Amino acid sequence: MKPRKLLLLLLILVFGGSVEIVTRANQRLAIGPAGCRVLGGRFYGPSFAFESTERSELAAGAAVEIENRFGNVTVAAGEPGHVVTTLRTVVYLPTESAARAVSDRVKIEAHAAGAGFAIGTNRNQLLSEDVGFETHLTVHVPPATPVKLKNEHGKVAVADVARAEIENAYDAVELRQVAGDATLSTQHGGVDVAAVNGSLSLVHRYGDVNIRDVGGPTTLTAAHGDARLERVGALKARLVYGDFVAATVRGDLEFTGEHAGVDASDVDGAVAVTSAYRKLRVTRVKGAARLSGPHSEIEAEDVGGDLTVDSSYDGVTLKKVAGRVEVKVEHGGVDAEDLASGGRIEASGDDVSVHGFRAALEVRARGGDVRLAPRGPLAAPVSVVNAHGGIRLEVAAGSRFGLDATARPGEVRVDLADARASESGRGRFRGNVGEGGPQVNLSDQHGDIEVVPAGAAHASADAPDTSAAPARH
Amino acid sequence: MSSLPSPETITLGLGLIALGLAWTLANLGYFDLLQALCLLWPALLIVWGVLELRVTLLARRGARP
Repeated sequence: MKPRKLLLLLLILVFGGSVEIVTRANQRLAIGPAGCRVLGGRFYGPSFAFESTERSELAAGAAVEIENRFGNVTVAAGEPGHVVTTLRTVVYLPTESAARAVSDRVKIEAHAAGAGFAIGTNRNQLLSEDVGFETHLTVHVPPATPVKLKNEHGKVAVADVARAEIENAYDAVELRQVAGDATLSTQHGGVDVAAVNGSLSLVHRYGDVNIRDVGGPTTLTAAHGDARLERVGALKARLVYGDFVAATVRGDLEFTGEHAGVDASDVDGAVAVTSAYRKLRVTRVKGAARLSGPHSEIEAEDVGGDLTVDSSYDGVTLKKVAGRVEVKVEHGGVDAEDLASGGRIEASGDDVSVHGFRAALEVRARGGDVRLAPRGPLAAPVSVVNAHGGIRLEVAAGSRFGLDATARPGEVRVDLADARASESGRGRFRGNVGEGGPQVNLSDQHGDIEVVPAGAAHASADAPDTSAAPARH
Repeated sequence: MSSLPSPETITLGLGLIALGLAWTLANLGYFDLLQALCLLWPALLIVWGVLELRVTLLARRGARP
């Protein structure tokens, strides 16, 4: 036999064998209903679509309850007094005649239920048949109708309703223009909500969340995905994994996360944020702020109330805080600017730098330098205890204060023209700068202390000029 | 001497035409492609066999196909 004949024979047999195997596997494994495949909750394969419409009367204000599976549901405002339901049935069968035979048996079920109106299909009665089909519903309800909707494996879009109660799984949800409250429980799909006049409650599992313009309080519980909220009422949120962004919150913001990054800005009330391993950032907060994040970089800017920060293994950056500051960071430094009410800072493992504080300040540090520069003449007590790092206090002209500085082992350098020592030595200075004023206590172990005029060069930089320094104690 | 295509070339050509036609008709919804292929693929072997037989008979009569 010629090689080309042998090759063709082989080709035909392999082709035929493959077709047989695939056909039998499809029949025996029952991957999905006949004529289609089910992958990720969707049908695939040849399909035919058929449409039917039903029109019913509906009393004003009566609630509409919709239930569906395997298909999209769209709800929009229609004409007053009537509810119009359009069913688009997509049947996954290879031939149109077979698909039509199935479609003819799929019906809209619309009837009064209690004080409201129920809409669905009879698809559950056809489940025993081995046919895959989708039921897409488009429902036009009278204006100002409360809507309750339950769906699976299909997109949901609801707009222009009085109230919305939505439950969906395995596809996206879009909600627009709700006159009252909205409650959503969703899984596996993106959620997009806009223009809810009342309160909003969303419980979500996997997928991104986008929420805008909510008039009332907002509650979000999400597991995996990013969440972005803009212009919402008081906000209480929980996100396990993902990035959380809240912009313009008209009330308090309370956030709890596990591995979630936070970026909150323009919050009218107080902020309480707890998360870990990701950056936490708050900006323009009118009330108090409490930020807690192990292994998180923390940044707070323009905080109107008190600020409490608890962090570890990363840095803390603060800018323009009107209230008192309480910072505790392990294995991380603090860089602060413009602290109007002073506070207490506790840090280890990195530098602490505070510029522009105007009230009493207490710093406890270890393993890093401490640099302090008050805004204007020193007017409030300052207390610094450091170990294994230096202390540098820069004071503005006209400052008057009592100074008690001890560095063991280390050196105390006070380069101020009007400094008067009652007790001094290499690692010790006790006395006054000017007359009266608050008390400044600086204590350092294994580090030097410098008290210098604001803007003075660092000791290392002016080392060649030490002999010309105005006073050295 | 005329040089007609060999039986296997004709079989391959007919097979491709048949597969293309079947696939197109199945996409248009006339029948299920997989079921049709599963049912009809041995016909390719019959067509090829008939062509081979014809060539052999013609050769015995002294005519070159």
